[in-house]
Amino acid sequence: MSSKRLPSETRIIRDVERVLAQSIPPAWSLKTKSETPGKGKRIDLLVEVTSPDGEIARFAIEVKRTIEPRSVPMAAEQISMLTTSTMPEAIPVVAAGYLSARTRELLNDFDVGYIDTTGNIRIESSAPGLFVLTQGADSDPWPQDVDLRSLRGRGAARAIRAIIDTAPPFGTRELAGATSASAATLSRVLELLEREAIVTRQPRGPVLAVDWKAAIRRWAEDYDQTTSNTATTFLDPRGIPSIEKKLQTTKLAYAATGAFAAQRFNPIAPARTATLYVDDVTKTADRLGLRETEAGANVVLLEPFDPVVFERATTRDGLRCVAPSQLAADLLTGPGREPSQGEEILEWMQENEDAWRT
Amino acid sequence: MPGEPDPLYVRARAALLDATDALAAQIDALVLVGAQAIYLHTGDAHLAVAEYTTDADFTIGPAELHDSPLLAELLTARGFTTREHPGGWLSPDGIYVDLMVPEALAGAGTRGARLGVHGKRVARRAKGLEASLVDHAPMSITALDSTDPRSVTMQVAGTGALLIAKVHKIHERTAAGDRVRDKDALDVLRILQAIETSFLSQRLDHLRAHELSAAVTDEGIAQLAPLFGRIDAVGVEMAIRAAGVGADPDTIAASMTALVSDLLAEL
Repeated sequence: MSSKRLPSETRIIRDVERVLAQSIPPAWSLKTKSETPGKGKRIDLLVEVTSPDGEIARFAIEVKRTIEPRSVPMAAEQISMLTTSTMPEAIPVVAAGYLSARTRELLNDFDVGYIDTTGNIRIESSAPGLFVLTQGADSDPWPQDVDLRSLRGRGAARAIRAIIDTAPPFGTRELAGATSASAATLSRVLELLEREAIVTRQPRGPVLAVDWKAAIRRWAEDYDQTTSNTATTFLDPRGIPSIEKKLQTTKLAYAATGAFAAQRFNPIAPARTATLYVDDVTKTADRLGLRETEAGANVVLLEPFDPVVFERATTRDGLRCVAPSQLAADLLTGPGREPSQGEEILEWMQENEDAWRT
Repeated sequence: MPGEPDPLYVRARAALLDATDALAAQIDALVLVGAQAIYLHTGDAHLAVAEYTTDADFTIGPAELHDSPLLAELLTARGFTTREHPGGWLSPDGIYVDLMVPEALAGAGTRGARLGVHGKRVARRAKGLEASLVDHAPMSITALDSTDPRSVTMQVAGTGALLIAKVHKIHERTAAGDRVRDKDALDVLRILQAIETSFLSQRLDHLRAHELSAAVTDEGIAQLAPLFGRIDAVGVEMAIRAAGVGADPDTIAASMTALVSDLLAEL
């Protein structure tokens, strides 16, 4: 994929005005001002939005061509301070050509509004009361392919699993020695996570902190339970309890995932489907007495994209389950109600960090 | 799944023990049948159950029944009351208790079973229960409420007999256009799922070889394919309705037809 040229800052300012004008409520009006009071650093774009009653909300917008998550704290602080000193009644906002989900999340954490030219907007004013939240593009229309941009693939998965499952501090080489991830891939994945403000590390030194929840969510953007792995569907006519019973005594290599495994962590609703990673689909189906079917399947056998899915699997209540980090990524990208169960597993992981992070 | 059994099921088990307490002097003539017998075999004590699955159903073997004490007196002495039809009783706690005699042994008549000095209203006649007097074994049945210390050891119909009884009931009622409980079809699926096919086929072979049960067993087997052999068969649709929204209809249909076809292949 060739990188498209990033638009110029002038072009971005024009586009920001345009998307903003399109998203304010019908009876409201919008005016932009290029001149700003005060000396020294000036506000890039000042927008006044007038309510039907004539009340005015002012937004002081810092415009960047591009902004990575790790630059958010500085940019947010800059615009907030500038606003406080030059126009205290204005609301600070950061704008760019495109803002990733992670960047938007961080800006929101810093209480700074955001606008991008693809239509991702969150701005809020209390007097006059105005709240605009719209969804634009999910992926960067102008990707710059200088660095690792994706966590797709086997090497990246081994690395991200190792990074999530290990309690910092740790060094790249040390982690490569202790897991199936290679030092080279680990280092590229860590760079990506650092750019996205998910890991913190000393310059050329060990990793000091990992926001493991954000790391799982970032991985889930590039990974997918049903398409990254090869799925075949089967029927056990005797139902899920029968599969559970057979798995308690089997010598087959397997690890349960999806709603089936989630139940062992947080028993809410019984699973309608048993999803298992296995090393040999045909042999497993044969030994467990499963019949291949398309309609009415209650067992899904996954041929894993990489053996890393079996790493750090644990037996819970007689069932071998993938590690919580793998389970969370599988659920978040799984079918039906699984994504919401993924959120519940993330909570379980938060409350039981000692149980899975070593 | 661990957990407390459904409160209604706890009450139904208690009513069953109320009935066996009352009928202790005649317990050798009774065989437990119906949903409560099925759950003893399939181990589904933690299922959420519907109101009508909680009846306590008994087959009476006339040959084992003593002339005294009278069944009706035993029941009324413990507060059981009669319902409209012969054989229908209501426990003091409001749970239905049904006393039934297999058609082949029930004598003349259309509803009530002729039981000599016990009269013709204490039990009703029912086709398909013959097998429960051939295929049964003693089981110990305890209360599900931990504060209730009672237990009884009594004859419980085997899975082959229970399957034949359910198939007859569904067939008779669907053929006659009578109201039929969807739950009965789900009970058939429970038996097919919980019991190994080879074991079930041996039980059915045994029942076919016995004079009392041969005819009803053959008839029951002959109804398996029309009722449950295709995904759009009437019994399959009943099971899907009874399973409710928590289950995938396609899975129920595929499971039922696969298990019935396995069983028929072994017979």
